[in-house]
Amino acid sequence: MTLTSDRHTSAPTPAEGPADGGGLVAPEQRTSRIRTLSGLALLVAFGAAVFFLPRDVDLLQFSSFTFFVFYALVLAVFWLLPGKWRWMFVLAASYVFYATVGYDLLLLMVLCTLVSFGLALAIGSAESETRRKVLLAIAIAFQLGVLVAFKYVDFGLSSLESSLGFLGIEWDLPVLAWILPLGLSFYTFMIIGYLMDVFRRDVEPETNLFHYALFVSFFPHIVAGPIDRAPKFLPQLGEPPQFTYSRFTSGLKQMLWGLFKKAVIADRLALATSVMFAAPEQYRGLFALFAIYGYSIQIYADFSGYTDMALGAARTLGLDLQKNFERPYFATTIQDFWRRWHISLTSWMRDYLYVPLGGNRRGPLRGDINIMAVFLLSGLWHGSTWNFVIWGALHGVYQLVGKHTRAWRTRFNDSIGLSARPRLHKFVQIFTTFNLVAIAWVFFNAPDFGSAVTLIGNVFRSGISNPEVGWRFGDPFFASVGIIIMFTAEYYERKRGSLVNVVNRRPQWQRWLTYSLLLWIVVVFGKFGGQEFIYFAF
Amino acid sequence: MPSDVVSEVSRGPDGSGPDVEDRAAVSRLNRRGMAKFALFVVVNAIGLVLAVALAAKLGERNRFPVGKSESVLLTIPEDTHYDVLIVGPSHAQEFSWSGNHERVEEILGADVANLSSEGTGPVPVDIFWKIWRERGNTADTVLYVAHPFAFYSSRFNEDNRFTGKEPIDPTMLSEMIDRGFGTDNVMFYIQSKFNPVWVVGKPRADNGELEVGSEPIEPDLLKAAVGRLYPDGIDNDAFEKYAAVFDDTVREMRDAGMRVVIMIPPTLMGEPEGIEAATEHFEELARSDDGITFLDLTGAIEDHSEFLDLSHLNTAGVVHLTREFLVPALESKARE
Repeated sequence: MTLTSDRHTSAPTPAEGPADGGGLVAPEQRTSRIRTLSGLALLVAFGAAVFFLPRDVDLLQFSSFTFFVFYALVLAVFWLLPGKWRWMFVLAASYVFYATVGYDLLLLMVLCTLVSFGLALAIGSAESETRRKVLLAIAIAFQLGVLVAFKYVDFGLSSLESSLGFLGIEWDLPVLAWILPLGLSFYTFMIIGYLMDVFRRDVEPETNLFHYALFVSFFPHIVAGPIDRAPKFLPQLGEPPQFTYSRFTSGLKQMLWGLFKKAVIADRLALATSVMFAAPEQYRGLFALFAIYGYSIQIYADFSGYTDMALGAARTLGLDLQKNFERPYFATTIQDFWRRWHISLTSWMRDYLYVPLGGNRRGPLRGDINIMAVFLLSGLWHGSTWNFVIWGALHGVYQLVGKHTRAWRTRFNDSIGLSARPRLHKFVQIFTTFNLVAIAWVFFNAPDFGSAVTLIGNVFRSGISNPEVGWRFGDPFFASVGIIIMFTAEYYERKRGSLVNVVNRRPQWQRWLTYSLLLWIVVVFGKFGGQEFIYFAF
Repeated sequence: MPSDVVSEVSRGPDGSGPDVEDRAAVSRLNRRGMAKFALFVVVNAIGLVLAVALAAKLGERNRFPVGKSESVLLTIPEDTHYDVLIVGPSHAQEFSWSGNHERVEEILGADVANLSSEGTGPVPVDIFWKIWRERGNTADTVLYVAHPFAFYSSRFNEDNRFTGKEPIDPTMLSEMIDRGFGTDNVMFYIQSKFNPVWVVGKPRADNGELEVGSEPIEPDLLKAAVGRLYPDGIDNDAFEKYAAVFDDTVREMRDAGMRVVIMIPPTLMGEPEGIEAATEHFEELARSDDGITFLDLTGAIEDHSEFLDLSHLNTAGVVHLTREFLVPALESKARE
């Protein structure tokens, strides 16, 4: 199925056809006018809905009923409006969407947008290299300053206080307790990436403020990514989007798949893992192992489910966002895992941090240091607690150990005959990688270091566990079936390519049956409105 | 494949853009595709409505006499007159648990209906009341058991999952949506009817013999119990909101010609939190209308042997309370 080749470049749309000169109105023009009027009527309805929208609505939660109403309204108005108004409208809708977290936080995002827009233009027009560097430094310092102020100041102060306390110096430092603006880490990285691209002349500075504002605030990616790149995103805004049925339905199918992962798997697993991670000392042996594996699957179903919904929603609005996942739990090494997990963050870290730091071009030691730096910062990006730093450090250590033991592991595999049995070898690699990743997730999710160590240690302890894991009758069955469907689909995709394409080649009744079945599973067995997406916290 | 055709015709002869004929072809394909999509949505929507209707029908085949099911709707008859109607949370369920229903009817010498359900605050009570009335039922007197905890948190109102035991009822569904119940709760109501437990089982009353001996009150247990009853603490805004719903229900009961007895039930938890505002409110209501009586029974029964736990009476307690407090209250109401 072609998803990108159907973008028109120059032809006017029926909605933009010549105005009626007062004579007979052609049927096409009449349809166009009816469509425009319908769009305007829906726009008014949208405005009214926004006016009466309570501030505490659950709009940001993609699996909520409120979001679906909002999205359906945006979709209808978007495609009924004349082409030239569509991006403006979706920008307004994105601001409405973000305003539900608070007007002050919306203002902060607008401020970041305006400052980076202006400085990117200045960088683009500056002639001397020094001036360009100074402007870039100012722009990045501003963006990072905002991020640090809201996300890391308290962490820094409390860490300093603890360190001084360790040295016997009592010093009461203030706590700011500022609210972390939703999506700040994501849009900050998108903006910094754009500034770097402009500086490197990989992209021309955007001259249309509204297009740039939409790049920063586009509602499908503002709260939890993907961290889109300007060179891919902005050119898509050059022309009014054209409606094509295939793109529209492929977007909806991806949204449905994402909702399945979120509502049927992630939120059901969350019922158990949240209870078990809150009291890790009560769970031993297989219970503790279930908590660890359960959370590993939960976070994947949650984040990739959200991403599928974001990508699908964007596609129905005529935009392609960056792919974020590529079956990460089928990775055979940790390096491979990071090529498949949160791809937009990993590639951002590679292009804007690892490579500028020198990558592996400045010798093996410097290469190792750079790897550790990238993973430590990646951990810190997720949250301002030591557990996230430990999570990042673990992955850095995994990478380095993997890198430096490659030759030894090859010899070992040869000696035990594993290399001669490629399928078994691959299975062992996937199993090992998954377990290493799962252990790291414990630090990611546990409330503190001690709880994480307790839970991991309890896997190897026998004894009676608390049988109460927060699940009701049917939950284990539905979670298991959901997980089997998800991983079978991924395994199948690995072998046969896109599952949507495979289904699309079947007769119509089979296609409908497949999508209806998925829809019904979601409606009947999904959990709705209970759990926020995990990555909303970052 | 239609999608392939779309992709092909989207490109013009020079590969850059479509010509007029191609645009017309794209437009035709889009229209045809959207018609198919609309049909898909309609077919699934009809399927969902039919499935919910079937679940409703399956639920309705299980009917129970009053007091014999944890479900309220499955016990509501049509066009029936009762002497006494009881509404409220589990403290009102006590009057029907484990054979108590017949005991209470005998002591009162009255036909009793009971619409109470676990943890129900003024909002669920109002919904049950509306459905009960909608089915043409009437009563002389309503005993509204109103524990203050039910006025201080949405967990006992819009966020209460009391519908798991109830069959699908259109009024219940529309009331939940109208009153702003969360998507999760509305979906829980529908989904619970596809649960094998519901499809093959029946929501029976199952509280065993409520003759539990007295247990000493341990501070930790008491603290935990209070925590469960006041998950949001004392939220005065919530109290005002739910007190207004309570007033509406009581007003409707009075408009329907019923006398209302508002009762704060006895517990072993001492004076409940937030009781001042509740007492003041109920007293004010009783003062404003002769047809409303307020019975504050906080601490009226203190013998541990009459309690099932810290909060609920056992059979001996229910009998005691009915004889000593309800009979006089209902008789005096009847005399008026």
